[in-house]
Amino acid sequence: MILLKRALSDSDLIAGIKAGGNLRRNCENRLYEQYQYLIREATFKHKLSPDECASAYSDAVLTVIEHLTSNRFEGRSGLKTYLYQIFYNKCVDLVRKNSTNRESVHQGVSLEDLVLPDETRTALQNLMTESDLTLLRERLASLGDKCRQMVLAWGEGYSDEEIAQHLQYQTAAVAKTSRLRCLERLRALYAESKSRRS
Amino acid sequence: MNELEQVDRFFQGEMPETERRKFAEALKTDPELASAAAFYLQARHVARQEVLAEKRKQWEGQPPRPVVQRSWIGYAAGLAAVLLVVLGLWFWRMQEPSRRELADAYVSQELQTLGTAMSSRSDTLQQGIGLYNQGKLPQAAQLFDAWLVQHATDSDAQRLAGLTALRQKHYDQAIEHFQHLSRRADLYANPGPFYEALARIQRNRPEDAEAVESLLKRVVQEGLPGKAEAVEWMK
Repeated sequence: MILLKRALSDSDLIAGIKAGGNLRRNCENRLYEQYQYLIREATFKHKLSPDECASAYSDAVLTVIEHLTSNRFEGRSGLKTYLYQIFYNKCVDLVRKNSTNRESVHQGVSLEDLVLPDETRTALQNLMTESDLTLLRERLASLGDKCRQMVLAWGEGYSDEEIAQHLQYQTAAVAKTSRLRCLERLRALYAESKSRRS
Repeated sequence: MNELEQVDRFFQGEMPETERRKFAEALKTDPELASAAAFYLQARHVARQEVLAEKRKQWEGQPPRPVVQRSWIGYAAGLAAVLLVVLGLWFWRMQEPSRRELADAYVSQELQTLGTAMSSRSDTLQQGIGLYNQGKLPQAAQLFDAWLVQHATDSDAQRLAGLTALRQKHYDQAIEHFQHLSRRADLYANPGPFYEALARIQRNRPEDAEAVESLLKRVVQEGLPGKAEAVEWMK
């Protein structure tokens, strides 16, 4: 028998995601499931493949989760509207990408969300287009389980306090020091691989 | 403090505004610092992409579960369905005859006339049955009662007197006759309990309900006359 699940309210979802731990995981999954039908709508609307839409939708859900945990979501609209807007923008980006030469498109570190002076933004963007994200991904995989988990948790938007709880560090400060050490190690591995290549 | 620590403080929003402005300027002029910042952002991007890939695998791997949207239409439909079922049950119950109606029907169909075939009966009883069948119930009752004064152990007379009282709606009297009959242990098939139940159903006093249940149960369990009706009425 298929069990029907009641849709969670915005406040339940937000509280659950902010609570952290297993409740956060459950609420993340529920958020994804609750508006999953948007994928099908976007497939028709934007003429994108289901896989592209699913990818954009997952990305949008993750962005919403990040905004919720960092309090960027101010509650001026409903969660569905907020998610829909982000998802819509991601679909439009994909359509743009598809209509240009794929090879020439920058691999994708977006600085749009960061508050930076224009020149600084351009300087950083130039540095990043030269880099090799695939190589960095490979080095991340070889970093060791604990360090990798820590970097992934940071990438997912967890605070040092949450990382400390999750990975059983004594304090947030200890977790932060360990995280920065892991990033240093990753940077060294990455630089070494790059110099070997060139 | 090394470069990555500074970069982290900058992007985590931990720098005061003046320091923040200075740092943003330094990013334009200090290649080492800019390289650290670029790495920091790339690492975060790659980590995020990795998380996203894992999440996608997890989210898209599970079959979509239907989600019920909480809307007033859903609640209204649910309420309407419940009401419909309740009304249906009520209507169905209304259609079902009550035990009282079944008993009344039994009396008017089965006890309207009595058999006269038994040749061993006395003339008085035969005469009483004749009067009963003609609807002359008081006269019939008079004869049966008179007979019982002389023949108190006559089970047939007890039954006839009880039925006559029942037809006259003299329920207390009828119950008394049927109880006498019920106490008889020498009868092959004792109709006393069933008739008593019948009289009590028609009398319909609060104390009768429990007694009726127990009498009908006894009729069914002991296979006494009226068992088929008792089974039906116990439903």
